[in-house]
Amino acid sequence: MKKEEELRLIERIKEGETSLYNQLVSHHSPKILSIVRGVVRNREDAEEVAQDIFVKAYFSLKGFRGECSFSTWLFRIAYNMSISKTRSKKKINVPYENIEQLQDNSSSDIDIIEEREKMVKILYEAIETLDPGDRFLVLSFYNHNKSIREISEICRMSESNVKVRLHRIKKRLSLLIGDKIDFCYG
Amino acid sequence: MIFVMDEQDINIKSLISPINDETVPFGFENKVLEKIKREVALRESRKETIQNLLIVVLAAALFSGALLLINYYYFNISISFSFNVLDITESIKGVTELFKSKESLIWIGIGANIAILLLCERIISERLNKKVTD
Repeated sequence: MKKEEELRLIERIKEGETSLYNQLVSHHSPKILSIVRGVVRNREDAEEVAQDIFVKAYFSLKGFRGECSFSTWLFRIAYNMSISKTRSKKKINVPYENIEQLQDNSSSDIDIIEEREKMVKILYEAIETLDPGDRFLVLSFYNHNKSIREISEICRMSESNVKVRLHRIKKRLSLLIGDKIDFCYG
Repeated sequence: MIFVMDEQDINIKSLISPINDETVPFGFENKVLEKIKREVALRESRKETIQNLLIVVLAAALFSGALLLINYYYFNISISFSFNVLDITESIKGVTELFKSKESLIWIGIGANIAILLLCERIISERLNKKVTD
C-alpha cells in the first residue's frame, strides 16, 4: 500500500467509514505481530498484545496527523504496549522454532548450514538476554529495516541516543557470541 | 546523517532474519474488529453512566436547593452557617430539622417517586434495547 493511498484510507476511516480499518489491520498485522513476538516472546500473549495495539490505534486514529508514516506511528504504540506487557509478565523463555527456514539456504554445504543454524540459535539466545526495549530496537533495525530516524521517532529518543544504544547492543551481542559470526562468514 | 551498516551489522541482519515470524493467525482481523466493537459498546455505556450520574447529582442539588429556598422564603425558617467549630453542629442540626419538616417530607416523597420512575424507565428501555440487538 502506497503512503498516499494509506493516508487517504485513514482520512476516510476518520470521516466515519470505520469498516475500512480492516484493510489497515491486514496490511500491518504481519509486521506488528513479528515485532511483538520478538519482544513479548510468548506467542499467545504476543497475539493478545498485537490485537490490543490495533484496538488502541483505532481509538487514537484521530490523533494521527501524518507527521510520520502510519507504520512508524503504529510501531510506537507497539513499543509502548509490548514493553508494558513484559513489565507486567514474568520472564518466559520460548524456544526458537523457526530455524528450519534456514534450509532454504542455497549453499549445498551441509556443514555450513549446520554451523549457521548454530549461530542463529546462539544469536537468538543472546537477544533473549537483552532487555525488552533493546530487543525492540534490534528487531526494528535489523528485521524491519527501520532507519535510525524512524526508531528515534518510535522510541522517542534522539537519533544519537539510538545509535549509541545500537552500538552498545552490538557490542554486547558480540561479547555473548564471541567472534563466531566472523567464523561463520569467514 | 545516514547510518551505514558495517560488515558485522550485515552479518547480524542475515542471521536475525529467520527469527522474523510474520505469520498472522487465522481470524486475527476478526478478533481485532470484535474487540473494537466491544470497546465501542463499553465506552458508550460508560459515557451513559457518567451522564446519568451527572443528571442525578444535578437533580439532587436542584432539589436540595429548592427545598432550602422554599423553607427560607415561604416558611421563614432562618438558615445561618458559621465556620466557628462550635456552631457547625448547631448549623447541621438546623439543616436536618429543615429537611424533617412536614412540607419537606412531602417534597422528598415526590422526589423519591420521580427517581423510582426514572429508574424503572431506564431498566425497561435497557431491556427493550437488548431484545432489539439480540
